[in-house]
This record gives sequence, C-alpha cells and structure tokens, in this order.
Amino acid sequence: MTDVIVVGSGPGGVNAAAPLVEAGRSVLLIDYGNEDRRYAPLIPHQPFSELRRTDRQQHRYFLGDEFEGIPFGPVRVGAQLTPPRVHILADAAERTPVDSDDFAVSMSLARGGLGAGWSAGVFPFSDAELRDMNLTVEDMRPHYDAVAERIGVAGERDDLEALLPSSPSMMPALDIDSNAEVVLARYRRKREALNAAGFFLGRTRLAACTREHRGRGPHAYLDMAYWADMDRSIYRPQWTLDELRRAPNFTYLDRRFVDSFIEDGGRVRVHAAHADSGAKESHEAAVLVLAAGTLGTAWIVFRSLGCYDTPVPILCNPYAYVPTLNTGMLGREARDRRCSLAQLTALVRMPGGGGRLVQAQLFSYRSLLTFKLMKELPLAYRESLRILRLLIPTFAILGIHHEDRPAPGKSCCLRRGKGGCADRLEITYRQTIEETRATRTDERTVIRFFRRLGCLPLKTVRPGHGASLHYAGTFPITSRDEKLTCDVESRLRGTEAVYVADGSVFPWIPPKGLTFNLMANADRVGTLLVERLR
Amino acid sequence: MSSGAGDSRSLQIEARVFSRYLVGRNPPDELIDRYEKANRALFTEPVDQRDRALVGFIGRHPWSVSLLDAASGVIRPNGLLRGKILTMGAILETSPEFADEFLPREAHPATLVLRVFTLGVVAVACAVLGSLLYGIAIRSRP
Repeated sequence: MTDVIVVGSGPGGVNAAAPLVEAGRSVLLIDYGNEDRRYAPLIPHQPFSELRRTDRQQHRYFLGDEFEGIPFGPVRVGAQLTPPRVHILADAAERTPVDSDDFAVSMSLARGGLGAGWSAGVFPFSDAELRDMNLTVEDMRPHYDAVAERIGVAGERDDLEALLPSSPSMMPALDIDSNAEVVLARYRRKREALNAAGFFLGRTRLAACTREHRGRGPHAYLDMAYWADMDRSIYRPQWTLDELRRAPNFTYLDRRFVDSFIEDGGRVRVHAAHADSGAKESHEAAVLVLAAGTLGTAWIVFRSLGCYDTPVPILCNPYAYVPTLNTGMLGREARDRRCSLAQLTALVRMPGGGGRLVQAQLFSYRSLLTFKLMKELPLAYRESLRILRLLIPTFAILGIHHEDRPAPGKSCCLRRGKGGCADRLEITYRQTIEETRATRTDERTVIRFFRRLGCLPLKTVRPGHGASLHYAGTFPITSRDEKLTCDVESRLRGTEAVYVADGSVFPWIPPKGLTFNLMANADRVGTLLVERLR
Repeated sequence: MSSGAGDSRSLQIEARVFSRYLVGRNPPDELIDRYEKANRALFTEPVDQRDRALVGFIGRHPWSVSLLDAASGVIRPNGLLRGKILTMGAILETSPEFADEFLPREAHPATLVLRVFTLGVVAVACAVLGSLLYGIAIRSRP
C-alpha cells in the first residue's frame, strides 16, 4: 500500500518526498517527466570559449535543429531557456491551456519542472517575510538546513548574512568573475556610506557545489550553465529524484498527466492519463502531496473540487533587467574561467518603505551569444557587432526583483471548456497604479546605488508580468478558515489528506526568489507527514 | 503574398552578401545550406511586399546592405531584412571558423572609447544615407 502520492518532480515534489523516503514511508511520485535527449549528449565538456572555436556541432545546441534559439522581437520571458532547455516548457500549453492577455505563462511538464532551468539563487525568508504564513525562521530553520545540505549551497558569510541567514553546510563561494570583482571592490571601499543608506552587497548564494557533494561537482567553470548540466554541480531537482529512485520504498511513474483527485473512505485516489496512449488510470494512497507547480496544482485542485469560475489570487515577482556599463572593467581583461550564474546580490532597503526590500542580482554577459544582443541595438548589425565585442567584457546586467502581494486585479480561475474543448485556466494580472509607481521608483533607487559602484545603466528592459516565473499565492497558507486556502501544515482546506508543496501556498512573495523557500516548505510538509503517518 | 524565405538561388546570394557584410568573408557551402534551412524554418509567414522588395534590392545591389540595414534598424527593426541578417549572424557566430569574429575583444580604454564613438558615427551616417535609399528600395521590384 502506498503511503503518499506526490504529484510533480519539481523543486517542491522531490523535497517533499525526500524526508518521507528517508523515514521509510512508501512514496509514489507521478510525473510527466519530459527530458532533453536531443541536445545534452552533443555538448562537449569544454569551456565555452574553447568549444566555440572547435566544435562543429555547436550550431545544433546553440541555435537548435529547428533554429528555435534564434529569437526575433524584444526580450521575452525565459531568454535563458536555450534550445537544450526548451523541453522544460514542452507540452504544458497543450495539456493545461491558459488564457491571459497580460501575463506570460510558463508551465512545465519536465522532469525537475521549472527547477530544471532554475538560476539557483538561494534566498531564505526572514521572520517578517514568513509572518503571514504563521511561521518563523526558527520553524523553518531545520528545513532550510536540510534542503541546503541536500541541494548543496555555496556562498560567503558576508554583508548579506543578516538578511539571508546561511546554513551550516554552506560550501565556499564559487570563484568570482572579473566584472563582479571590480564592483565588489568598489562596494567595500564605500561600504559604510552604502550600508547607512540601506544598500548591502555580497556574493550570491547559489545552489551549486564547489566541492564534491552527493556525487556532484565540483563546479568546473565552463561558463555553460545556460546550456548544460555536465558536472551536475548546479542543483536540479532531477539530482534528488535520481537519489530517491535508488530507495526501495520509492516508485517513480513518469509519462503520466495527473488530472484530478478524489477523497474516498480515508484514502485519496489520483486520476491520471498516460501521456502517450491516453489510457486512464488511478492510484491510491493515504495522503496526496500536490507539487505540480503553482499553475499545475491550481488546475488539479479546481477540477477535483469542481471549482469553476472561482477566482483565487495569483502572484509573480515583477522583474526588470538593466544592462549597465561597468566602468571599472575598462581596460581590464575578463577572466575566461567563469560561471554564467549570478555573481552578486544586492538587497536594498527602500527609504520610507516600512523596511520594504528590493533585490538585484548582477550577471556578466557572454555565453548567451552576441547575436542576441545585436538585435537589441537600433544600429546597423555590422557596427552593433563591432561595438558589442568591445563592450561585452564591461557589461554588468542587473536583474531587479520586486515583491508581489495580492490585489483585486490579480486572479486565476478555471473556465469550463465548451463544445468538447478542454477546460482553460484564465489569468488576469494588473498591478495597481501604486504598485507600478513603486516598482519604477524602486528600480531608480537600485540603479542609483549601482551607478555609485561604477555601473552606468544603458536601458531598463521589462519583459512583462509573469517574466520571473515565480508563480505563487493561489492557495495561500492562512489562519483564516476559508475555502481554497491551506492551513499552517500546508493542508488544503476542505480536504482530509491533500497537501500542497509548491509556490501555491505563499500568501505574498518578497523580492527574493521563491524556489529555495518552497523547497524548504516542501521538506517541512514531508517531515510533518512522517509524523502524521506514524 | 508569399513567405519571406525566398527561392534557393536568392537565399544563396543573401547568405554570401550578409556574410561579407558582417564578417568580411564568404561563408563555406555548409553555412549557406544552413542559412537556407533556417530561412525555411523561420520565415514561413507571408510577408509584406515592401519587405520582399528590400531584400530583393540588396540581392541585386549588394553594396547597399550596410545602408539599408542601418536604416531598417530605425525604420523597421523587426522587419524581414533585419531578421535575415540576424539569422546569418547567428549561423556565423556558431561556427568555429567565424567564432572569433563574435567573441569579446579586449581594448585599451582610450581605444575602446574612440572605436565605439567612430562606429557609432558610422552607424548614424549609414542610417541617414540609408533612409534616403530605403524609399527607393521598398518600391523596387521584389
């Protein structure tokens, strides 16, 4: 008899399953499980600059066999979803259709979910950020520590320590690249004044291994993080799934699309369809953990409870990119050995904002290829190319995240399909005027601080609502006993034994990046269920 | 209206013109084939007569590519011509023999400022001259 069914192999699913499997419970993980089998085997274990000069197959994984890696038009959501990562979004739009005019939806049916393309930033929440969930850092600490050990986190105990507490298992940070090194040195010279103004800068904590850990890493500095997972040093939920699959009490069932659940006589029955044959099947367990991603879980819950035309909140951190010219890099040679992921994180306490934070991460640009930047300049391509070749070593790209809270214009509901058509999720996302004004003001403040560090902004790119892919807030944990919410244990109200372990349960999202927190909450759910099933 | 890809012979001419324009060299046959395939995969939608005329004009008058590209960057940045040149750029960038033409290059700060300024002036001048030619090109036969 199965104790627990987990739906989805993303960051929430595998981290909910892990403590259950460790405690000896029988766990069935049901997943669609798309994988990239086409491009990954083609990518050689070589540094970016070396394979660019030698590999005759590179056009296949850089551009894609259908040239899907050549984007036209303005920067869109998921610019980092390169051809070897495109499988992450495959089939989802057909299986769970979504209507929205103002919100970019990226759902995943991949093994590892959206986590298969995670940018690996580790940003634990503070007491203030957990308060609305009736949780504290003390409640979450064992789960932050367990997840940090499981996934491997590298970082430094620096000026961010007070805002982003570290875990005992933290490994040394990845080597810093030349661009970030210059900015960090300038920050250190001006630290006192910047800190007094509410600006704190440090190395980005990354879910990456700088030494061998659980058979992964150490990181090889190939600068290919957007294209391949060759040394497995950067965390993907698939690595935990691989570990789980070695346990005799864990079963992985892929190529299944979960449609709904029903509770019956103290058991939960899950209805699924085979991805290839379409054959219907059902599976039974004492407990169900939904971790199909915020929108995937919404689809399952709405259909299972028959909640059509019933809006719930939807959240996603507003996001902007700001390419800047790092004047400190002028005349300096950029080191070739580097990692493509975020190098630095800034946390900025906004003036007069009641302690409101904004987060920015600093990246260097190279491995996403030069032609993608050429189209951003309104100049002749030949001159654009020559200018960019000179300026790319000096580019520091800021990614600015804002918090997001529920508002009347942000909702998600399920509409019944008409005339034999599938049901459709409908998402409306409109910021209030005050929110839009606050995000613009906050961006200007962040940019001002980076200007003091020698980073001159070139333009601000806003890829649109939904761009950060941090979807959340549909079935929030709250003390209010309301339908379509979760209790503090993450149990879906109105059910006996259905738990939610993905972004759905967060009532608001700080500007920090959600993934590490949803993994810790999933670990908490799994740990609570070990007790419940005892 | 027909698709933006064009016939095989036109595509081969375009590949050579755009390659010489971007990196100053003719592409090997392998990259010309890849350019053809990319066009057939990417430019499947019917396109405006003016877009086709612009690309056809450059095929007949290769000297005009720098001017018309510069003008299109301002007048029609997401048009067919820009899409095709970008496609050739992507193909060249991802081939070992041309990779160095796209990899970052270090420069002394003074050289960098001077080079960027000069290139900017050239680009603007091309755009001004190109905008005069643009009106003629879009009215020419496709």
